[in-house]
Amino acid sequence: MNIITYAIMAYAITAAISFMVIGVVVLMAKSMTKKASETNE
Amino acid sequence: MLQQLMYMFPGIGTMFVQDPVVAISRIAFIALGFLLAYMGFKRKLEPLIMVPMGLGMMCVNGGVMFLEAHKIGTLFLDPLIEDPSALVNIMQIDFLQPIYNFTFTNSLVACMLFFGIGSMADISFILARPWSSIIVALFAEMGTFVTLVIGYYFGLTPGQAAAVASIGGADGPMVLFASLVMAKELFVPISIIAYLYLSLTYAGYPYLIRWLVPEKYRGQEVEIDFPEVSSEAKFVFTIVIAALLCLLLPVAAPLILSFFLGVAIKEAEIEPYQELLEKTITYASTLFLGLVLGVLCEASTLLDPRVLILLVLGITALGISGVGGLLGGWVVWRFTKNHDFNPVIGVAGVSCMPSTAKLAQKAAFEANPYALIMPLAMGASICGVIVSAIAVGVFASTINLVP
Repeated sequence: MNIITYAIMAYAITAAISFMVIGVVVLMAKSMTKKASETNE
Repeated sequence: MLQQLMYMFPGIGTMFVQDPVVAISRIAFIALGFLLAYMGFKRKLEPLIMVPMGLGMMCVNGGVMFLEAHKIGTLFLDPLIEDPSALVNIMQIDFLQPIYNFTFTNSLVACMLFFGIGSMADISFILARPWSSIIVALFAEMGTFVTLVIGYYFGLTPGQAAAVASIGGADGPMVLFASLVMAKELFVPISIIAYLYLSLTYAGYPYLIRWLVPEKYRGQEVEIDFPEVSSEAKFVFTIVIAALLCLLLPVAAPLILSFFLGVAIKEAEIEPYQELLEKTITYASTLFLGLVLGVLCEASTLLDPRVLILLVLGITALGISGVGGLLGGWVVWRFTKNHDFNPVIGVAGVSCMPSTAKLAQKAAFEANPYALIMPLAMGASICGVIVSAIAVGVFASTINLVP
């Protein structure tokens, strides 16, 4: 694979995994905060 | 008579029997070591690394002596030794050899530093602006990917180019890890260059910020809203993310484990471990890291023509990452409602945590004493660490796709 294509591909994979990690963080934070507030009510 | 004097003062005597280039380089490295240690003392460079590194560099280049069988060497360590029986012998002579072989060549020191970095990272900072933080961090990783291409065209192998490009992530332990996994033969010069440059970010990035962000925007105040998230929630997603990243990037699993273990210990509030990581392990590893890096700066080891290429590539990677981070800051500023974002936060995406976040805050304070951006800058910085770890993991897993 050409180095430029590889660099673009690696950047894209890094971005995809990073967004996925943050997505998991946000989703879990939201769901656990919701659950905690329901328990308090 | 002259020969007797040479043997009486071998540090000086060896200079007369060595290649003149090596002898002159030794003097140059002694001077450079003095400069680095002094700059560390004056707090112009990072003292935690520069004082032991500068002194180590001075002493290893001064302490050259005649060894058995007309060899010339030192009593510090020999990084080039590979034969197991020779290694066992040398470990009984060179005092830093065990530290080097048992903590550097297997990247234990990098992982120990990551325990400490993890224990300093607070996930709440990310939760204040999660998407902005990750976008900025991705822009700030630009130097890594651009330098990979430049390094390849400079004649390095894909693994070597990827290892030196990881300097763009501005994360010392990550560079150690990347060079050990992908370019073991260049581990010494890449690590030294990385740490030299990382200290220089203190000196260089403020100018970059002033150049790319006008004062009006540097002093912009931002609204910071921390969502209420329990320690339990933060602990659970810390360990879930660690497992997920290890599943995706097994090559970077040691670093991922180390970082997230630090975070998990902080969130679980296990105070004795927290104290151990923050006070003992982090500082002990930093001390030995600085010392061993300094001792590795022996003129005869570093006189490799590739070092010049690495010097150019290292500064290119950090420069592009700094510019990329600030560009990311502008992009987020442009697309945020009411432009409620300070573009300077972009530079904190270059993950050198918490140094770049402090730099961003300092630049904002200089423009406006009421501009508090530190929490958002820390969020960007922590995301920078995560993105750097992912980038190195991606490189290590896929670099063999490039012939």
